[in-house]
Amino acid sequence: METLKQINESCTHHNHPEDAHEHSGHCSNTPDGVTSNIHDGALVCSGDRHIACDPELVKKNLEKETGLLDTWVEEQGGITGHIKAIISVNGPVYRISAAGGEVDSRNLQLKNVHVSIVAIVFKVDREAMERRVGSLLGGLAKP
Amino acid sequence: MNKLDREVIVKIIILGGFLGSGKTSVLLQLARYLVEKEKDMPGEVKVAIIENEVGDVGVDDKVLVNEGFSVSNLFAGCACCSLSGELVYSIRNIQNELNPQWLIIEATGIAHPGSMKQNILKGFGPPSYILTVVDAKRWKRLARAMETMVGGQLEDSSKVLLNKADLVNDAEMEQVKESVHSYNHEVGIIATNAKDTLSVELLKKLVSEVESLYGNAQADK
Repeated sequence: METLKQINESCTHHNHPEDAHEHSGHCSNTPDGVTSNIHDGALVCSGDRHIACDPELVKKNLEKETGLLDTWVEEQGGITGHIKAIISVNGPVYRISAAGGEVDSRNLQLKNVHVSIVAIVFKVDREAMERRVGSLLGGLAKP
Repeated sequence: MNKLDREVIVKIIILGGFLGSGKTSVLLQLARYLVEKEKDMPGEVKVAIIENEVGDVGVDDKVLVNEGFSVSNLFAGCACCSLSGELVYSIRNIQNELNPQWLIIEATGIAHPGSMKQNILKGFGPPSYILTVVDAKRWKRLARAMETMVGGQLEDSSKVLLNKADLVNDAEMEQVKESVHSYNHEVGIIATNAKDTLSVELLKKLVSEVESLYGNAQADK
């Protein structure tokens, strides 16, 4: 397998005179951390969130909400390019201890869960989309 | 120095196609195949990947890095236009730092891979192989709603993978093939299924075509 090596940090907003696409490079940053920009008619709406939560609950909610967001875009008369999200878990997972008796092993229920989501859609109102993605991220820890 | 002057030519595959067509799944399978194929070849890095995202948050790059691949990110723009300079810079950088045998560039789902190919040709050297993934299930709707974009993505394609073939019937499949050929009448089309992995035979065939392209480029030097 390849050596894990991340080369080049992300290039951002280096503009060139090429005019093959229409750009609206101005990012909109909403209060809940959702960012959007428009490129060649595509509305790119993204956000991320750190949550102390059970990852399984986040996964279940995210699966459901991704489907609902896809349906919502179509209901708005828009087209979903794609919606992609990733769940990462950082930090401690188990705690193991001993104190003159049996070894005690505990699965730590609450984990440091990080969710990133990107939705690329067409023909959908930008502010409505930002609100919808913000609302999705805000509801991921709900039982 | 022009890349063709070097002893080893990095073989470049541009993976194009509209959003949601299945590019990343193809990329993962192709990259794994190439790593296995080249395992006995010299050099630490056999396959490098450039991941282009139109937004400033990446998802697929995390998956690729997690698999152990060398990934260079071009975010917040499109390598066929607004980030075309950065694309050539990244290729040179990868060539100098990693010297891989293969470089796979995953275009954004709204890019025109043909423009990327031209930019690479002008700024770097050898021709690239464009593998375009088309979503058979959504093709008709997308071609109706955004013909310029999805049609333009087929221009200059070396091969089209007509993905999600299992989700359409035979008659629909023929219509999609006919439509694809109306944008690029010479391109070869191979049907693939959404849930299946690509066969070793198919991967071998694609890789062989790329090698032929580069073999010809070297012979023409």
